[in-house]
Amino acid sequence: MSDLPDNVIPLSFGETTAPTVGPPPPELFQAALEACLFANPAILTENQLSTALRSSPSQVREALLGLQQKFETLGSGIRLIQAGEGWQLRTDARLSTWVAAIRGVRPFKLSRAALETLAVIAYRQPVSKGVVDEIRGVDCGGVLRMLLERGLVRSVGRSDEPGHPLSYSTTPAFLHTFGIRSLSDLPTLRDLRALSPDDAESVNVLPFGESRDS
Amino acid sequence: MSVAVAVSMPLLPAGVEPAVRTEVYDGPLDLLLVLIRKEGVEIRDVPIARICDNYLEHLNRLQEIDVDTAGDYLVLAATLCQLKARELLPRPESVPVEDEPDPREALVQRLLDYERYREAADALAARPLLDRDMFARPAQDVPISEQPVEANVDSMGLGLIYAAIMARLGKPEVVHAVEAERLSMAEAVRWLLKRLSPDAETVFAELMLSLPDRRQRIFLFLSVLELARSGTVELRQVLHLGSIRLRSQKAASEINVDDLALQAVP
Repeated sequence: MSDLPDNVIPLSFGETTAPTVGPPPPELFQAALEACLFANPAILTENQLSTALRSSPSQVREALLGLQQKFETLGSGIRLIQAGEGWQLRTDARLSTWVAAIRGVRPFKLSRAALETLAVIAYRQPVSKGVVDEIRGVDCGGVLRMLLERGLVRSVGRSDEPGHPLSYSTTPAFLHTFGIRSLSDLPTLRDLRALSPDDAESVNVLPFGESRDS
Repeated sequence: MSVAVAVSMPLLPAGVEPAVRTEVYDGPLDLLLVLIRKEGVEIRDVPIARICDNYLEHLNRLQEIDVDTAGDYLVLAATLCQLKARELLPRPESVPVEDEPDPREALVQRLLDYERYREAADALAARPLLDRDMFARPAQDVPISEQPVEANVDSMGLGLIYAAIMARLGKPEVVHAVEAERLSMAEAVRWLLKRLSPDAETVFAELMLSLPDRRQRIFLFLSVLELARSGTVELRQVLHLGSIRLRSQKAASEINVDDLALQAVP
């Protein structure tokens, strides 16, 4: 291997001076954003988009809101959705029948029991199975297992209740699936605090995720 | 979790599909809420005696109810019966009515709480759900690159890099699609003898390298062994793994190849 021919050009990556890539020109900025969201179907954060577009997050945010508006006013079948920590292009909900047909999927279904269980966990998290059972008046084991399997809830340690049962919280996938930006964006439970002033400390109204004693 | 309540229906003649009306309840609280709504009253004003009777009546008609679920329903039935009994009992005169806590309070509170969560569940269900109402493009595991790769190379540069790699790898061996060459041992021996002399040594490796083809080299190797076996050629190796030197014992002209009992080579 020592007798390399003279015409061998040494390989060098990264040592060459890379030309600096700037942001897209202003007239193409929104289009570039749209293209990025199309090219990567994951939920993209404003930071990721601003890195790709060599622009400030605030610039990206402004353009995202503009793009969201554009999809709605343009009669497009695409919507720009804010879900969890980022943004994603999704098809318009009014077109679900036909889109499901072309995707060849059975629509995602959640039973009444699953939705109720999910609601209790979303508003009371972290919460033990015992409390969920108590609120719903039925054993939620089967439903809870299904929600865990679907990744909509997860166990987050043990509660201080007797026996230290596992406590459960919703996951980012829950936010993604329901198109919710953050738990604090959930609508408030109607009059929950006013309803039972003596009992208020037993019910987490808002904000979410805080423990009852805080 | 849900149980169906089959509303009693008359026996139908064979072959006639029964118009089955079933109501599905998600547990005892759900059933109780439905009953209260049927009465058209507020939860706070729930008429315990009547609701209790309705509830028990429904419970009797519960079909396909498993043991676990039945327990949940029965606990509430017991609570309702207890409340009803308390209502029917005469109040002690000594305690003023307004001072007495409403025995229904705990149950009412549970029902109101439960109703709030049901509303929250409705609100969740009303949202456009991913993969039910809205669809995203299928996930492809596209890595999100924080620092995009910048290959600072144009097509010419790419060509040069390719050439450099190929040069490092060395020239690819030319692969012939040749019909089997009819080499013969006799031919190989003659070729070898021409290159040997009694007066000088010939280095085996040089002979090998002078032949480009692998098959030719095999024949040369076999020829050397053959001639050494017959004593026509002397092999000498001074050092371990050193070069092997060949010297013929007679001049090439004195050797009759046909006299050598050459072994057939497949």
